[in-house]
Amino acid sequence: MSTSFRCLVSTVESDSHIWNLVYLQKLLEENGATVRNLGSCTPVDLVVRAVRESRPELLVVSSVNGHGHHGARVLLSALQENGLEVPCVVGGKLTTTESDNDRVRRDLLAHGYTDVFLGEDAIPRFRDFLTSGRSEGFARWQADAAVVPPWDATVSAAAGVH
Amino acid sequence: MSGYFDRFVADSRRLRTLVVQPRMGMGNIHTMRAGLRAVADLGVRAVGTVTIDSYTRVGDYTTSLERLALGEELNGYPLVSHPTGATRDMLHGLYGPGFPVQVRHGTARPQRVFERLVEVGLDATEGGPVSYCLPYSRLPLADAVTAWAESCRFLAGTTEHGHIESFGGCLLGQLCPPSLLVAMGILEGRFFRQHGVRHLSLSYAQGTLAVQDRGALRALRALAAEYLGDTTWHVVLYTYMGLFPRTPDGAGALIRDSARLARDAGCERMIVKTVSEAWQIPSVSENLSALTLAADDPGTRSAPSALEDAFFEETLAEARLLVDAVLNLDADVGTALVAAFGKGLLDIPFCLHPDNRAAATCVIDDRGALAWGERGGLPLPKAGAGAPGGGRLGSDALYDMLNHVANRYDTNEFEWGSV
Repeated sequence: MSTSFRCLVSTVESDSHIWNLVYLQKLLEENGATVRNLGSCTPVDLVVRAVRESRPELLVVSSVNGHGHHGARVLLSALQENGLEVPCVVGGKLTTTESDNDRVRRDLLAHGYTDVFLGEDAIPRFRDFLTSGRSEGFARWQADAAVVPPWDATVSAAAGVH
Repeated sequence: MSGYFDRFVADSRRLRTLVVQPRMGMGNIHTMRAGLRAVADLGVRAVGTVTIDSYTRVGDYTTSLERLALGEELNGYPLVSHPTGATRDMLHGLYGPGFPVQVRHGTARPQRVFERLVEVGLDATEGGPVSYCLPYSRLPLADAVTAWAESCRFLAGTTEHGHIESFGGCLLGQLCPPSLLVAMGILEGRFFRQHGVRHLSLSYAQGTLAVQDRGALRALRALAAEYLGDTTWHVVLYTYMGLFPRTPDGAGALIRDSARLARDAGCERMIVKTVSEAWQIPSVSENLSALTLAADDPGTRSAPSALEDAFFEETLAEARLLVDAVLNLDADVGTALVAAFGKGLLDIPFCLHPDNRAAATCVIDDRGALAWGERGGLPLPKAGAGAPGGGRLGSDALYDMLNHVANRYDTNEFEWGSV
């Protein structure tokens, strides 16, 4: 088990919030991370370049402005297109309403995020993820299956058929 | 033409009425108009807000329309992307002497936004070379200074009464000692004035302790009179900008306390938050409720306490040291601002921008007031004995500070707000 790991913290390009990033940096450092914090409004190209340069063991994407869902998809697609594989997690407030959380989490897990932390218990779940990831490796983390609310059941059943 | 914004605020001051203003921006033209109409029809003295979306904020003028075409909602109005005529139509019959409209945007390079707001017939906006760069952008500060100088000269040259509100009294929105907020507003005001803008407002974000805020707002007015005497200026208070209480009672009490603070401190205008702020971007009806709540509070106007006087003196002295240290660096305010951040004479606590030293920190002291932790290279006297000091601030301590106000209001401990 490594006692320290390299971690990259970013947000999405349209998000100018910083307190989430300041807090996460402290939390990650206390959990053994050496953090490179890219700050607010991170362009996709900058994150791609930073992942290529600093080869982090974990990428943490945090967004709270309500547009993170779209930005997080674009970011991960760009990493995939560049052939960069890194465990990455995303969290915060990713759409303009809380009621979207289950749908968004399902979508981003399917898109390839290692886990998605939204809602009331996001931070405790993220801490659990860090504890496990440090000892077992972040890539081995198995995210809980996304909740499918009853009113979305037909949609997901239809998706399952395809 | 126009000048509605300053005239409306001046009339309200004569009527001893606080002007209230929501945060509001919708992507869809009809939804935006409906939102403005609802505010205009509310029956309180309100200014309308058109906040642009966060794609426009970073200079992306296509994604917002693509997302709208997909039927998604945006977090603001894409002013640059919507056709000029469509925005003029959107404002038609609403915008006028009885209902001024301010464009709010958050851009470090605001030229396109300024051009478009003038094209659609508006003349009031906000921001600043520091306050919209360091907290919100990746642009080097020197570039933002150049962009803002150009934008100010454009506004001053194309409008008769162009108005800019400095966002310097908000910075990162929370956890900043008031003296730096006050100093930054004054410095950005001097910057706007140097580039020809003569109608200003100075912002201030409600902090953690009412008595400290009252003292700081007095200091802001005293310094504005001194350093911006030949301009038209007023003060705008922002209801607490950090994490909002999650209970309706707590959120309502915080909104009411901010309105009381605004009245007690003689602020002319106030930007409200809503009861649902902790959860989501507020709906129009939530905005209306908050405006009504804020407009209804009578204020107390009690005589200043000794503690308020002490906060006033401290904020005034510190802010003056900061302002003078910066203005003495160069005859050009923009050059002075860039040099000051380079030397650490200005330093915004917790700000991650590469041009900010981030050696200074802020803590909440035993009284619940915002105080310096580390002072870094700020030109301020050393902390007195018994001051909180910085030390290494852990994530839990930061988390507690970020939740300090929300927790206090959610647990009904806000009654002592009148201290």
